[in-house]
Amino acid sequence: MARSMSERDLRLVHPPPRERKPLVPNQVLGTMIFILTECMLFAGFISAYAIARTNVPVWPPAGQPRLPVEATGFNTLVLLASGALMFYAGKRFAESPEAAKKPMLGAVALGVFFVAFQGMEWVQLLSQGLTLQTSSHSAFFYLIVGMHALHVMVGTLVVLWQARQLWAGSLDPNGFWAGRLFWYFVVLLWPVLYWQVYL
Amino acid sequence: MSPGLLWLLTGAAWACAVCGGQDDADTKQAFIDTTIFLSLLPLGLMGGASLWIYKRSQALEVAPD
Repeated sequence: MARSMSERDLRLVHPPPRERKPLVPNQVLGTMIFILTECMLFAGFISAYAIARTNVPVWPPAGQPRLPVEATGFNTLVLLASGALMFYAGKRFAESPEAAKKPMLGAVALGVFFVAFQGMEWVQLLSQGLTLQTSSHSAFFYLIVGMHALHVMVGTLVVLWQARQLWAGSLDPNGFWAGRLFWYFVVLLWPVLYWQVYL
Repeated sequence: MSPGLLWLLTGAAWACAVCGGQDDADTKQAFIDTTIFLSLLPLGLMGGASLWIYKRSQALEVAPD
Protein backbone atom coordinates (compact mmCIF):
# COMPACT_ATOMS: atom_id res chain seq x y z
CA MET A 1 0.00 0.00 0.00
CA ALA A 2 1.40 3.33 -0.98
CA ARG A 3 2.24 5.42 2.03
CA SER A 4 0.88 8.98 1.83
CA MET A 5 3.63 11.59 1.74
CA SER A 6 4.17 13.52 4.92
CA GLU A 7 4.64 17.27 4.88
CA ARG A 8 8.35 16.73 5.47
CA ASP A 9 8.61 14.43 2.45
CA LEU A 10 6.78 16.96 0.33
CA ARG A 11 9.23 19.65 1.36
CA LEU A 12 12.11 17.40 0.38
CA VAL A 13 10.63 16.81 -3.06
CA HIS A 14 9.48 20.39 -3.61
CA PRO A 15 11.56 22.69 -1.42
CA PRO A 16 9.83 26.04 -0.85
CA PRO A 17 11.37 28.88 -2.87
CA ARG A 18 14.10 30.76 -1.05
CA GLU A 19 12.75 34.04 0.25
CA ARG A 20 14.57 36.88 -1.48
CA LYS A 21 14.87 40.39 -0.18
CA PRO A 22 14.18 43.04 -2.79
CA LEU A 23 17.29 44.76 -4.11
CA VAL A 24 15.77 48.15 -3.38
CA PRO A 25 12.81 48.41 -0.97
CA ASN A 26 9.54 49.38 -2.64
CA GLN A 27 9.22 52.63 -0.67
CA VAL A 28 12.71 53.71 -1.69
CA LEU A 29 12.28 52.75 -5.35
CA GLY A 30 8.94 54.60 -5.51
CA THR A 31 10.47 57.69 -3.94
CA MET A 32 13.42 57.54 -6.35
CA ILE A 33 11.08 57.45 -9.36
CA PHE A 34 9.06 60.31 -7.87
CA ILE A 35 12.23 62.36 -7.34
CA LEU A 36 13.29 61.76 -10.97
CA THR A 37 9.98 63.21 -12.17
CA GLU A 38 10.36 66.13 -9.76
CA CYS A 39 13.85 66.82 -11.13
CA MET A 40 12.32 67.14 -14.60
CA LEU A 41 9.62 69.49 -13.29
CA PHE A 42 12.19 71.86 -11.80
CA ALA A 43 14.48 71.44 -14.82
CA GLY A 44 11.58 72.64 -16.96
CA PHE A 45 11.07 75.68 -14.71
CA ILE A 46 14.77 76.55 -14.75
CA SER A 47 14.95 76.17 -18.54
CA ALA A 48 11.93 78.40 -19.11
CA TYR A 49 13.39 80.94 -16.69
CA ALA A 50 16.78 80.86 -18.45
CA ILE A 51 15.15 81.60 -21.82
CA ALA A 52 12.89 84.32 -20.36
CA ARG A 53 15.82 86.20 -18.82
CA THR A 54 17.61 86.44 -22.19
CA ASN A 55 14.53 88.10 -23.70
CA VAL A 56 14.99 91.31 -21.71
CA PRO A 57 18.04 93.59 -21.73
CA VAL A 58 18.17 94.13 -17.94
CA TRP A 59 17.54 91.26 -15.55
CA PRO A 60 15.98 91.53 -13.02
CA PRO A 61 13.91 94.30 -14.65
CA ALA A 62 14.61 97.80 -13.38
CA GLY A 63 12.17 99.49 -11.02
CA GLN A 64 11.10 96.49 -9.05
CA PRO A 65 12.08 95.54 -5.47
CA ARG A 66 15.38 93.69 -5.09
CA LEU A 67 15.28 90.12 -3.86
CA PRO A 68 16.72 89.61 -0.35
CA VAL A 69 19.91 87.85 -1.49
CA GLU A 70 21.81 87.95 1.83
CA ALA A 71 18.89 86.91 4.04
CA THR A 72 18.04 84.06 1.70
CA GLY A 73 21.71 83.05 1.67
CA PHE A 74 21.45 82.65 5.44
CA ASN A 75 18.22 80.68 5.01
CA THR A 76 20.01 78.44 2.49
CA LEU A 77 22.57 77.57 5.16
CA VAL A 78 19.72 76.76 7.55
CA LEU A 79 18.21 74.31 5.07
CA LEU A 80 21.60 72.72 4.36
CA ALA A 81 22.10 72.29 8.11
CA SER A 82 18.70 70.60 8.24
CA GLY A 83 19.84 68.16 5.54
CA ALA A 84 23.06 67.45 7.45
CA LEU A 85 21.05 66.75 10.62
CA MET A 86 18.78 64.39 8.70
CA PHE A 87 21.84 62.57 7.35
CA TYR A 88 23.17 62.27 10.89
CA ALA A 89 19.76 61.00 12.07
CA GLY A 90 19.91 58.27 9.43
CA LYS A 91 23.37 57.21 10.59
CA ARG A 92 22.28 57.13 14.23
CA PHE A 93 19.06 55.29 13.39
CA ALA A 94 21.11 52.39 12.00
CA GLU A 95 22.83 52.08 15.39
CA SER A 96 19.79 52.68 17.60
CA PRO A 97 16.40 54.22 16.71
CA GLU A 98 16.43 56.01 20.05
CA ALA A 99 19.58 57.91 19.07
CA ALA A 100 17.94 59.34 15.93
CA LYS A 101 15.25 61.27 17.82
CA LYS A 102 17.16 64.47 18.59
CA PRO A 103 18.78 65.00 15.16
CA MET A 104 15.46 64.21 13.46
CA LEU A 105 13.65 66.81 15.54
CA GLY A 106 16.43 69.30 14.80
CA ALA A 107 16.05 68.67 11.06
CA VAL A 108 12.28 69.27 11.26
CA ALA A 109 12.73 72.43 13.33
CA LEU A 110 15.18 73.88 10.80
CA GLY A 111 12.83 72.94 7.94
CA VAL A 112 9.95 74.76 9.64
CA PHE A 113 12.24 77.76 10.23
CA PHE A 114 13.17 77.81 6.53
CA VAL A 115 9.55 77.92 5.40
CA ALA A 116 8.56 80.50 8.03
CA PHE A 117 11.52 82.73 7.11
CA GLN A 118 10.64 82.47 3.43
CA GLY A 119 7.02 83.30 4.23
CA MET A 120 8.18 86.47 6.00
CA GLU A 121 10.26 87.38 2.93
CA TRP A 122 7.24 86.95 0.70
CA VAL A 123 5.11 89.17 2.94
CA GLN A 124 7.83 91.83 2.75
CA LEU A 125 8.14 91.57 -1.04
CA LEU A 126 4.36 91.69 -1.51
CA SER A 127 4.15 94.77 0.69
CA GLN A 128 6.82 96.40 -1.51
CA GLY A 129 4.62 95.75 -4.53
CA LEU A 130 6.29 92.68 -6.03
CA THR A 131 3.41 90.46 -7.12
CA LEU A 132 2.89 87.70 -9.67
CA GLN A 133 1.79 90.33 -12.19
CA THR A 134 4.71 92.74 -11.72
CA SER A 135 6.96 91.17 -14.37
CA SER A 136 7.92 87.81 -15.83
CA HIS A 137 10.81 87.81 -13.34
CA SER A 138 8.47 88.10 -10.36
CA ALA A 139 6.11 85.50 -11.85
CA PHE A 140 8.97 83.03 -12.21
CA PHE A 141 10.24 83.93 -8.75
CA TYR A 142 6.93 83.12 -7.04
CA LEU A 143 6.37 80.03 -9.18
CA ILE A 144 9.79 78.42 -8.67
CA VAL A 145 10.36 79.43 -5.06
CA GLY A 146 6.73 78.72 -4.16
CA MET A 147 6.84 75.26 -5.70
CA HIS A 148 9.98 74.47 -3.75
CA ALA A 149 8.44 75.80 -0.52
CA LEU A 150 5.45 73.52 -1.13
CA HIS A 151 7.85 70.58 -1.36
CA VAL A 152 9.59 71.59 1.88
CA MET A 153 6.20 71.79 3.61
CA VAL A 154 5.20 68.32 2.38
CA GLY A 155 8.63 66.98 3.37
CA THR A 156 8.28 68.51 6.83
CA LEU A 157 4.87 66.87 7.30
CA VAL A 158 6.29 63.50 6.20
CA VAL A 159 9.24 63.79 8.60
CA LEU A 160 6.91 64.88 11.42
CA TRP A 161 4.71 61.86 10.77
CA GLN A 162 7.79 59.63 10.79
CA ALA A 163 9.01 61.27 14.02
CA ARG A 164 5.68 60.32 15.60
CA GLN A 165 6.24 56.73 14.47
CA LEU A 166 9.79 56.83 15.82
CA TRP A 167 8.49 57.90 19.22
CA ALA A 168 5.91 55.12 19.11
CA GLY A 169 8.66 52.64 18.21
CA SER A 170 7.00 51.64 14.94
CA LEU A 171 9.12 53.48 12.36
CA ASP A 172 9.89 51.23 9.40
CA PRO A 173 13.58 51.60 8.42
CA ASN A 174 12.74 51.50 4.71
CA GLY A 175 10.05 54.15 5.10
CA PHE A 176 12.54 56.31 6.98
CA TRP A 177 15.06 55.77 4.18
CA ALA A 178 12.46 56.93 1.62
CA GLY A 179 11.56 59.96 3.76
CA ARG A 180 15.21 60.93 4.09
CA LEU A 181 15.70 60.62 0.32
CA PHE A 182 12.89 63.10 -0.29
CA TRP A 183 14.34 65.45 2.32
CA TYR A 184 17.81 65.32 0.70
CA PHE A 185 16.14 66.16 -2.61
CA VAL A 186 14.44 69.32 -1.32
CA VAL A 187 17.59 70.37 0.54
CA LEU A 188 20.01 69.85 -2.37
CA LEU A 189 17.66 71.36 -4.93
CA TRP A 190 17.44 74.67 -3.07
CA PRO A 191 21.05 75.93 -3.62
CA VAL A 192 20.54 75.37 -7.37
CA LEU A 193 17.31 77.41 -7.32
CA TYR A 194 18.92 80.09 -5.15
CA TRP A 195 21.80 80.41 -7.61
CA GLN A 196 19.43 80.59 -10.58
CA VAL A 197 16.72 82.87 -9.18
CA TYR A 198 18.47 85.10 -6.64
CA LEU A 199 22.04 85.51 -7.95
CA MET B 1 21.56 65.27 -56.03
CA SER B 2 21.03 62.44 -53.60
CA PRO B 3 17.97 63.04 -51.44
CA GLY B 4 20.12 61.98 -48.50
CA LEU B 5 22.23 65.10 -48.93
CA LEU B 6 19.24 67.43 -48.84
CA TRP B 7 19.43 67.66 -45.07
CA LEU B 8 22.68 69.61 -45.48
CA LEU B 9 20.72 72.43 -47.08
CA THR B 10 18.15 72.78 -44.33
CA GLY B 11 18.16 75.81 -42.09
CA ALA B 12 16.66 76.54 -38.68
CA ALA B 13 12.95 75.89 -38.53
CA TRP B 14 10.88 78.96 -37.78
CA ALA B 15 8.06 76.96 -36.33
CA CYS B 16 8.48 78.34 -32.82
CA ALA B 17 8.36 82.11 -32.64
CA VAL B 18 9.45 82.11 -29.01
CA CYS B 19 12.55 79.94 -29.27
CA GLY B 20 14.03 79.33 -32.72
CA GLY B 21 12.47 82.35 -34.39
CA GLN B 22 14.20 84.96 -32.25
CA ASP B 23 16.78 87.20 -33.87
CA ASP B 24 18.54 87.61 -30.56
CA ALA B 25 21.65 85.41 -30.41
CA ASP B 26 21.46 85.10 -26.60
CA THR B 27 17.93 83.71 -26.75
CA LYS B 28 18.89 81.25 -29.46
CA GLN B 29 21.87 80.13 -27.40
CA ALA B 30 19.69 79.79 -24.28
CA PHE B 31 17.24 77.71 -26.30
CA ILE B 32 20.03 75.40 -27.50
CA ASP B 33 21.58 75.15 -24.01
CA THR B 34 18.29 74.29 -22.33
CA THR B 35 17.46 71.77 -25.07
CA ILE B 36 20.74 70.00 -24.38
CA PHE B 37 20.15 70.27 -20.61
CA LEU B 38 16.60 68.88 -20.79
CA SER B 39 17.68 66.10 -23.18
CA LEU B 40 20.64 64.91 -21.14
CA LEU B 41 19.20 65.31 -17.64
CA PRO B 42 16.73 62.36 -17.77
CA LEU B 43 19.40 60.15 -19.34
CA GLY B 44 21.86 61.14 -16.63
CA LEU B 45 19.31 60.58 -13.86
CA MET B 46 18.25 57.18 -15.17
CA GLY B 47 21.86 56.20 -15.85
CA GLY B 48 22.86 57.26 -12.34
CA ALA B 49 19.98 55.34 -10.76
CA SER B 50 20.75 52.24 -12.84
CA LEU B 51 24.43 52.39 -11.89
CA TRP B 52 23.52 52.73 -8.20
CA ILE B 53 21.18 49.72 -8.40
CA TYR B 54 23.83 47.68 -10.22
CA LYS B 55 26.51 48.56 -7.66
CA ARG B 56 24.08 47.75 -4.84
CA SER B 57 23.32 44.35 -6.37
CA GLN B 58 27.06 43.65 -6.62
CA ALA B 59 27.62 44.70 -3.03
CA LEU B 60 24.69 42.58 -1.77
CA GLU B 61 26.04 39.52 -3.60
CA VAL B 62 29.33 39.87 -1.76
CA ALA B 63 27.79 40.66 1.62
CA PRO B 64 24.01 40.00 1.76
CA ASP B 65 22.08 42.05 4.33
